[in-house]
Amino acid sequence: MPHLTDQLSAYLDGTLTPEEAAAVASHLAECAECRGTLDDLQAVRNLLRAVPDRAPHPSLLPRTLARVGAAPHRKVAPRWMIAAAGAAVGLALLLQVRLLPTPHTDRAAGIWYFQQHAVFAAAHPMTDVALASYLSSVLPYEVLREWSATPQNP
Amino acid sequence: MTSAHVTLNSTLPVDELAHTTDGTSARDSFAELLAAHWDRAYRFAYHLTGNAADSDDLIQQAAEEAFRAFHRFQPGTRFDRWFFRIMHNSFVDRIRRDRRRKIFSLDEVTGAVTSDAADPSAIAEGALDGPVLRALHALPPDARAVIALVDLVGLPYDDAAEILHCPVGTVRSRLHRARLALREWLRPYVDAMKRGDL
Amino acid sequence: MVRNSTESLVRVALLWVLVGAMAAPARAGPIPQPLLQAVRARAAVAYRGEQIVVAWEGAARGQASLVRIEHDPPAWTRLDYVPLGPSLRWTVIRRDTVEIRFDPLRLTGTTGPRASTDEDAFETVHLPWLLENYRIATAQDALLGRKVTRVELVPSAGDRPTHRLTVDDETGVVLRSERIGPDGSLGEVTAFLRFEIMPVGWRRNATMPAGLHLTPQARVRTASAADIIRVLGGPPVGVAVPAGFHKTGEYLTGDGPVVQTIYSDGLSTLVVYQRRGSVASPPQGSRVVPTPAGPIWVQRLGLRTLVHWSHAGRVLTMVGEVSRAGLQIAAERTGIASAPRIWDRLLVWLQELVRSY
Repeated sequence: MPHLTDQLSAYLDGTLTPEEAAAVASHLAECAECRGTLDDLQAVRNLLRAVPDRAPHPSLLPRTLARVGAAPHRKVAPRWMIAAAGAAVGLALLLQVRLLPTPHTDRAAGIWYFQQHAVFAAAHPMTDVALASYLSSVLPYEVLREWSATPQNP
Repeated sequence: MTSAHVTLNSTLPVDELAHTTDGTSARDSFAELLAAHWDRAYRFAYHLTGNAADSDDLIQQAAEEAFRAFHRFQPGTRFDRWFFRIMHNSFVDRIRRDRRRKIFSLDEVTGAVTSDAADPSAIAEGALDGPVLRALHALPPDARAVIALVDLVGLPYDDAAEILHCPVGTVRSRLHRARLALREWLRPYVDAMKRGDL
Repeated sequence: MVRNSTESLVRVALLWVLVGAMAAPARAGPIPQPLLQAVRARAAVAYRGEQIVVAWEGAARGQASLVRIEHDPPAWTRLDYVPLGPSLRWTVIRRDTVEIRFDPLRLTGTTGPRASTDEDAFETVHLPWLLENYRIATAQDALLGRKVTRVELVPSAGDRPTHRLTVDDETGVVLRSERIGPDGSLGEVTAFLRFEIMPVGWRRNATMPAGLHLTPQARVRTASAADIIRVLGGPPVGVAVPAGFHKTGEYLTGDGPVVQTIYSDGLSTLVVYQRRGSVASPPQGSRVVPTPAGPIWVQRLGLRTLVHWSHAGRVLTMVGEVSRAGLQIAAERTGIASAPRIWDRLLVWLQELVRSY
């Protein structure tokens, strides 16, 4: 019988039907090479499972939720709007209004401002050692999580 | 510090949250669903891209696209399959764009994985993820995606097939070939694992 | 089990803090030695202990944490936060010129340069302003079995917090501190539950933990006049600030586009963010307040208030431990642009459209 190929992986993962599994098992009983391959596959799978979880930064979810739906729809500009925009550009040139280079339009979370403030406040020599770090690192992230949960705070 | 082992769920969470009740805005439903699947989605993104910055980008972009398409999502169906598919599509688009712009990663050019002096004794301290993740990243994107879904996130074959938009048989063969490739990259560690040294 | 005992500890600590807060201070003095001592102690005295830190966000909500502290100046400070309630643990380590912050369970975090505090600057720069802006009163007391001096700093302006410090007479370490909002509500409290002086150098061999995945923080750097003009497209607009605040520096985070100007009144810090723009994109979480001149956006977090508006082609955000009324007056005196005209909105939309293609 030819050696097993992807049936071995399926066998390892338990996705074969009982008949198929029985067929694989009986081949394995007689074939040392396939047994070796199965052991290798199991080792590879264990190595992969041993990789520690890489956790996202706690602020990533709230930041993501804050941006969702808030950014302007970039790709969906209906034709009439583009025409109107074109007219506006023409008008701008006519009035010689200088188009400024694009300002930073990301809407920062208010939390960012508070957090930065805490970082600067921490430089004051009288700030409490533990409080300064608390306000600038721990507190904003926890509040950020709460802010994303309430419907009023987008 | 002890290294955390990935616990693979044998039963997947039921998407009870996918029902939108009257009065809940689409935004709130979306947020709840996203939060429920967030950690696993991030794990998928991280193993696809190989680094935190790109995975943050990927998951954020996918979330924005998913929200825009949320009206097409059927409440009561599997949000994770739907969202992971969006993430994977986004990832594939990104790769195509990068290829067109001829961006090469240093690893692809220098084959950094093989220069790894495999020292199985270093593994005990939790240094295992380095060589394994580098090997994973040396795989082509197709193979990486299927390994990420099945072995790292712990999804069954049919979920992976739905997410990658291919037949289950393709998932099976791709997975097998990817594991064999990893076996080659990680030969010293595989042997150590088989001996019981790890 | 552990939670119950820490919760009762919290209750005891809070009760005792409140009792302390109600006691009246004695006569006012000239230059307050305990303050100078407290500032010098941060750089000179080594100790370890456990503190409780509480920050209120509103009348009913607060965040509290226990902190284990190892302090061995000048090279080592380690703070292990164990929040009370459903929050993440957090550890901060300052070693030499580096500060790292990480989650001790997941081993992920950030690294960046340590903010250096200049103790000499306090006497020459902050202290004169502090004496101008605050009335100081002291009283003797005892705490944790040690002789202490209670110092109360009450602002002459009625729009910012009162500080109360309890300074250890022997070493100058601040054993307890409270900040009370202008409306009389407690804003922040820190108090040592356990405290022990250690010999300097006791953590000489301390090392950073292994296996951390740290991402570098965006650097804050001093902004030169040229930087400011480049980032803003012109000179910065003059900004009116509440009484008693003096400018102490100007910074950029990474490569801009926001200029951050810092002010101090000797004790409290005020930050003004300025960027180019004529349509104020309000911060997420703020709400609009119409004023006679134009709209401003307001957000509060505990003792801090944020006010955001546009004026003279700039978007301004002012954040400080000042009441909303105080910051609103500052905004009005600076000048508030009227609600943006359709024309301005169209221009901004056009720029975004152009940028995204």
